[in-house]
Amino acid sequence: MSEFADATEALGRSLRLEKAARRGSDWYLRYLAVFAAAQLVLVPAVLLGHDTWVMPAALGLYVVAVAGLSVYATRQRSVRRRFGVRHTVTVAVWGLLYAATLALGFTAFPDSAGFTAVAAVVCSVPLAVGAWLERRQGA
Amino acid sequence: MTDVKPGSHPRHALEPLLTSPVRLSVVAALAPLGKAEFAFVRDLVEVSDSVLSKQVAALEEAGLVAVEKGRVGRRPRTWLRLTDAGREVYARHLTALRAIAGA
Repeated sequence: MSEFADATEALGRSLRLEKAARRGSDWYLRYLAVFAAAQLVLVPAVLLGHDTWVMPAALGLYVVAVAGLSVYATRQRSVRRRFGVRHTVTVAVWGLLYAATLALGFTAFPDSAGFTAVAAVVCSVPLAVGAWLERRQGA
Repeated sequence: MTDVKPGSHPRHALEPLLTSPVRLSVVAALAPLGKAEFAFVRDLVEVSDSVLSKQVAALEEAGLVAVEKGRVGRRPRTWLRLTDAGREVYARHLTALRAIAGA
């Protein structure tokens, strides 16, 4: 085989493997997508169900979701580069928005369906953006 | 006769250790990752445990790959990670391959 063909073949194989490795580590995309979707249910449950059993149930579900996703994360076979930084930033932004929306929801907009809808979307945005960035990186 | 400068051909920039297809595949599989389990790389590169162990040992000795052993629950796990030096060498090797292939 010629040097040119050898180099082309080696390049092609390397790029295929890089892509396959990225695809094999897209579990974090699923993690973020599940967590983003959960916001659309859990944030309204906490804001509108505060005087009922719904709020403690929602908080319990939060604990179960975070614990479950953490166990899921530790069982994965690969981690993408700079995962720690990206995960910390994503969760920190989500945490700040979540705390802010709950504070506003309980003080300035109690039982407001309109605010609750906006809050649910706002809380899911950083997680959805994180999932989109993961998807883009894996393409 | 044409004057050929010694060392000017891109092949001289190739990393000898990565001219082995299996070693290059291991490094390519680790390149986009922070770390990966031994079995993940084995399945991706499609080699046996013993072949991968041997090639990883060579890469580790050269400082291109780091090996970490740990446990998840009661299961022992071996993690592989491309070092900074490994990333540099891999990038140089790919550049040389592209130059040879004219890509």
